[in-house]
Amino acid sequence: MDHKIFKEMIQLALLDELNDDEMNQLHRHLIECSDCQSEYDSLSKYYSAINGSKKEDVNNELLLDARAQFKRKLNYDLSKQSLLEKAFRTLRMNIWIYRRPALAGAFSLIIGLFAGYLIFSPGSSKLNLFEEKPGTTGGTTIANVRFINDSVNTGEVEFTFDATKQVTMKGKLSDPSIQKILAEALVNEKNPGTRIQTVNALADISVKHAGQTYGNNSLNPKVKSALLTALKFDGNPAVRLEALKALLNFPFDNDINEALLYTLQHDKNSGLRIAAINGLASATQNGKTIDPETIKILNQQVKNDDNEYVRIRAASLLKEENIQ
Amino acid sequence: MTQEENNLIIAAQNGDKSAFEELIYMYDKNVLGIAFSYLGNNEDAKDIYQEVFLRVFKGIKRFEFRSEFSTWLYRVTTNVCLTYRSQKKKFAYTSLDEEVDDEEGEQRSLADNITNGESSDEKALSSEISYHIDNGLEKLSPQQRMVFTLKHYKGYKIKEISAIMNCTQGTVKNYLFFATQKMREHLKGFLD
Repeated sequence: MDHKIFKEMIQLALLDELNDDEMNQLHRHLIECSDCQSEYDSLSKYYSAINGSKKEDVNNELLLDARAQFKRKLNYDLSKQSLLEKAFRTLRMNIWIYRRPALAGAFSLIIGLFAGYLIFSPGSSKLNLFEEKPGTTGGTTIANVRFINDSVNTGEVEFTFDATKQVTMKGKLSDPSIQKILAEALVNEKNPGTRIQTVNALADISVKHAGQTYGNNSLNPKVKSALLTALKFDGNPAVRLEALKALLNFPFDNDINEALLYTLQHDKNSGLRIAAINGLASATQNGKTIDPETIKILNQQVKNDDNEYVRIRAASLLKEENIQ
Repeated sequence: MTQEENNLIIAAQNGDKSAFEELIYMYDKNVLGIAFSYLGNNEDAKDIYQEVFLRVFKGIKRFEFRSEFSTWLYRVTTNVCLTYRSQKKKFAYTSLDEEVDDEEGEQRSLADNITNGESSDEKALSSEISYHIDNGLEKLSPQQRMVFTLKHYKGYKIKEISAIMNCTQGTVKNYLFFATQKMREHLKGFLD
């Protein structure tokens, strides 16, 4: 066996990758070969240095932080899946065909007929593709057709597509189904102007709900959930601020407390951080006790926040807590 | 794979979010550990953690029990690490030739300080070597660095690494041998 192989065996031995027979063979060789013995010594030194540079295992704080961050992101992503998306994702159409060209032809024909229908039919006509619900009108647009399976052998085809339909709805803000749609819009709508209009409508709902203007009508739980999501993750500060104000109309609970703390810690906009700490201060004035997590975050803000008002307000809240 | 783990996987595949959480909490410390050892900072490691488990959440329905769940999970982890580009500013490594002020205010090179025994405290030397090992790792290819990390820092066997990285044991050995050669060249002068 040549030295090259023994040099590889030396590395594998130090990596604890040789079996007993191979180790014995190597040891016998090392006794006879000074070159390989010196390579073994040098490599041992190298591996000791590498072992000494091992990074410490991750601590629990980092792990818990990573878990919390992931949960927030997952919940946010899941909340973004609108009801329509879910409904259409489950819509799978199977049609029988015999040949691939026939499939392409038939499909082109359907698209062509559909496009012609959309262009030339009067707006008031109803489509048969989807059953319309009361209070809806207008046409459906098909886009983003994606083939999942078009096997020639089975003569079966499977594809997905996006179907978009303009829907008009009219109803009272106290109607939980209207509330649900507005909540979905706050999370999914791309236009920030529309999101502000939506959050204002939701704020109105929350005020009236707090004042029991709607009587015994229950508030859709999606409203609060959408406002919490908007406060934490909306890209537009005006939407976040309106969401925060709306949330303060709800009875103060752990979800709201957690969202305010999140804003205080992570929001880059100092106006939002000020609104968040004012919200926390107002809750403590109304009898909410400050928990250890809140104390920890307030202490961090006293030391690290860029904004002087936030630092002073955080310090004064902590001071009040000490007095209590 | 235990029966309990199988049941959790099947439940997670059927959309049970709490089963998914229970399942990932069995392995997530290792995932974070690999990411942290490979990238060297908490923020990047948390980004990797998030991306890995979002991919696993979306892709768990496609898991067909052909391998251990942990192997599949660590494969996703290494793939995410290998394609990850850190958004954070990395620590600017100081060159060995760079002049530094010594205790008397005179400028000497880092190498002089070490070889003259002026940083004779073992801890300081060890930390200096760790620093240069990290520096040397930056010069390896992502695959070599990942194999190095899994072997030296996480203690996996070559066979396990080949399963995680979906390559032959020969390829893993080649990566390791090449990384050893490069790192030894890089650390020459410190270890002699």
